[in-house]
Amino acid sequence: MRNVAVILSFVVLLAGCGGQQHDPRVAVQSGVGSDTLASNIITRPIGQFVSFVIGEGIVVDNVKEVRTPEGFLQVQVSGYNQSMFKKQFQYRAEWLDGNGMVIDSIMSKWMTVSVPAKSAFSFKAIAPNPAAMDYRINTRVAKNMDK
Amino acid sequence: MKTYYTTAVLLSLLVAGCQPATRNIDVTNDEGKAVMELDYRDFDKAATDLVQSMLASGVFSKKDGSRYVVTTAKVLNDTMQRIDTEQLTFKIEQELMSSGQVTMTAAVGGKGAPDEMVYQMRDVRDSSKADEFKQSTMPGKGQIIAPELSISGKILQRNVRYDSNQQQVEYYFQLRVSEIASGLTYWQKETLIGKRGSRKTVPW
Repeated sequence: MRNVAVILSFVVLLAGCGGQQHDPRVAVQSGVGSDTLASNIITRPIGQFVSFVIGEGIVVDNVKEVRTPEGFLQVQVSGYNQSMFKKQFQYRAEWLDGNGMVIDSIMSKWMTVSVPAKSAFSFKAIAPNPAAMDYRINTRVAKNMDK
Repeated sequence: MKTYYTTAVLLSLLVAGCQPATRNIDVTNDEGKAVMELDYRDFDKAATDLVQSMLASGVFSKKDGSRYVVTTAKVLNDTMQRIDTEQLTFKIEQELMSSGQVTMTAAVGGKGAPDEMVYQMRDVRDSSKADEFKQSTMPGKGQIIAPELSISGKILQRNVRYDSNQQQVEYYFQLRVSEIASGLTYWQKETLIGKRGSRKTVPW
């Protein structure tokens, strides 16, 4: 039982090892940079398995809002794909006016984002008109995508 | 004889029962299969992408704060499909007008006047039927506002052999905004929608 716990701890540790010894703004994918414990050809499958089992995915770590000179609210969502697999997802922004009413717009459509493993991402959305004061963004898994 | 009739009726009922039932598409949250041809989801995506870029670029921002008068010129369908390019341009016009930045003209366009009534009423004005109308309600001469900006573009299709079983179809949505007076282009963008699927599917 103790052995199992030790192996599991090792494996979890392995999955968490990104081996980022460079500028974090540059994501060096497995097979591009030098091997790390997590990206080694022997240990990578274990890391990938653990990543899959513990369900690693996207984390959103920053949402920026700006008003363009024309008065349109623009939002930039930034985050990180913690998984050891590419993640493809869709987002849809809904825009709300000053009274909290949804603004009808063709721009409230599902748009696709694809993020490589262990990489940062960001996407931008702009309000359909200057009356937009707030927004809601929803996400879902992107289906029917070529892997 | 009776047995044949019964069998035929039963078979036809069975065949009818095997046909998939007609269902309405959930156009807001459609998770249906992708198709090789361009479908409404592709037009929505392309229009959203293009309008977002147009609005973010500030191309429709006029120095005096007034609205630009805009027309949609020719958007060429260079695909193997029969597409009415208004599937794209209508959405874009709608969204640009909702943005409060532009006014679209119905007097001129790439396929002629989008609203022929603009000229039909002028024909009436110059005909003998004009007396039937209250003259103050008739359109006068020199009233139509000329467009300042024009939106034009193209939808392109390229078919590429991907492997022995699959093909790749690339659709390029290209749009530009030009100033009619100077002929200068102030904004342009290309949006790509790519699909891979069976070679047996013919995308037209």
